[in-house]
Amino acid sequence: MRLDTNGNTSRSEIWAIGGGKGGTGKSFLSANLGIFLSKQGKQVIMIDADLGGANLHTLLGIPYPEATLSDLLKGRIRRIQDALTDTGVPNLCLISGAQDILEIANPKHSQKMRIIRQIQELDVDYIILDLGAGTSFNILDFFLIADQGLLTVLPEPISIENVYRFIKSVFYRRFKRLAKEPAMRDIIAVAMDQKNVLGIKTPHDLISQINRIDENIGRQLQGEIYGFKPKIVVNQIRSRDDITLGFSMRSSCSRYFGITVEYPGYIEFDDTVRQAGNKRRPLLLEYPGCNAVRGIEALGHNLMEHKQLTLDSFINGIQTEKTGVLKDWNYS
Amino acid sequence: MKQFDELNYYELFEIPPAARLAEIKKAYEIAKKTYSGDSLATYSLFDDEIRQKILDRIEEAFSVLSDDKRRQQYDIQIGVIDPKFHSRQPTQQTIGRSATASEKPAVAQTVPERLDPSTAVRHSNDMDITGREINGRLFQELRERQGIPLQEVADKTRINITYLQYIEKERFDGLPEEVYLKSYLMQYTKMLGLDPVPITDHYLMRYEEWRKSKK
Repeated sequence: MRLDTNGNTSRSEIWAIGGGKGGTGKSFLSANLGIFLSKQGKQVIMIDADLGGANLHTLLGIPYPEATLSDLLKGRIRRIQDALTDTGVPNLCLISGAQDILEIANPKHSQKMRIIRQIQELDVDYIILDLGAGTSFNILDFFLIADQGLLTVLPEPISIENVYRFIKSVFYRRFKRLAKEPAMRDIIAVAMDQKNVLGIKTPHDLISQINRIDENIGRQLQGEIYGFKPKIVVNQIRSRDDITLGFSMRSSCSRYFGITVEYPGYIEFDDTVRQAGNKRRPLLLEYPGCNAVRGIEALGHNLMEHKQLTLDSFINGIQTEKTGVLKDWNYS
Repeated sequence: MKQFDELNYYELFEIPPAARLAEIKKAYEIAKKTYSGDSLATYSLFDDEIRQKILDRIEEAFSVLSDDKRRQQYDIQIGVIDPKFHSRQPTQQTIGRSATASEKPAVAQTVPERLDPSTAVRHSNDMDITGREINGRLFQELRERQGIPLQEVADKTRINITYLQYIEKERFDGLPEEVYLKSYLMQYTKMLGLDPVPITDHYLMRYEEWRKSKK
């Protein structure tokens, strides 16, 4: 039994994988991190929280399950456990999301909270939440229950901009839920508009603004900022510059947003990903030892140990077998 | 979270205060790239004015850190190096120990402030370790020969002193994951003025042996 970031008790460590843009590898990473953890002997439940576009089952090579989150939302099943599906991988179960049902993509607040509560009551070692694209409140709320929130990013402008937007949105969402007073909620609502009249551009500006009105709430929000550290995973890297991008994003968004962002790992571009995808087989099982898998494993270890990459070891090319990828890409 | 102007130069470059010139140069290049106008990571975040301010600060940081004298003064100013260090004489205890260890007590006075490759070479000549077994005991011996207290190694490398003790005592069970251990060993050997790669590799072989025997 542990405390989650909202101060609620939670039985399992929850990892959420989001990132704003579609096609950045969220489901790919979810599936393979889930398998990685199960191979470490951990009990894992993967949840396809992409309501409306669930496809995690395809990545795992299993048919669309009979019972899904959609059935839970519609009251056809009562407990989330009833939607547990065997994946064929030892220690690993799947709870699938809804497919092609547009109204389910926007469940009512009460429905969503019920799902969240039930997720938090699941009793396993790890829960992996595969989130959909975008920054809708539903996605942000799922992201916020995670102990470790990962954002997948490709080394290209739109993907990077989306990740920044996601980081900002998720913090404002969190602040808004904490600030009970209408006056505070108003300021936060204003701040969410990029061209707002108060000139608030970043969470850092927002806190300064709120500090002027109420120092206590300002302090409380500042504490929140320290407590939550989104993590960037750069996917499909093809060069040393792509690896450096993660360090650059970490440093610049920490400075710009005033938020601690971490960089626990990256995944090399690898044609085996496409090959495994076409076979509807998870990469980690189909091509163990390929470059992309080495990156996933290094990332998985870092996440389990709550560690991240350091710039000076990158510069010095100091890595071991575990984080093997860096060896071929070290900075020289 | 500190803003740009509150970060010291090492924090700005994300390198430890014991970093060598070569590392500083690389970190500087990365920082410059990160905040250049066409950087993927930052083009959408900063306007030209702020970007220029940040780049100016990066240049200022590099001009200080790449100049040995100015860097030394800066280190004292921000408290990375204790001013007393400059006039430090080996303590009684250290003299006692080093007398038995070697006939070269002068090493203690020529402890490099930090190790650029040239001083590293010089020191490895001073401290010949040919034929010696690379183990925790050797780390301790070489450190004491130079009159460096363990706390100072901890301060300069920012490695937890307990880990340093475990490295010297070969308390392998208390040491962190290999990737971190390797980084610690590299930093520690560099600080001792030795060629870090072979020594680190040898030490890690001992660590590996222990790990295998544990299974």
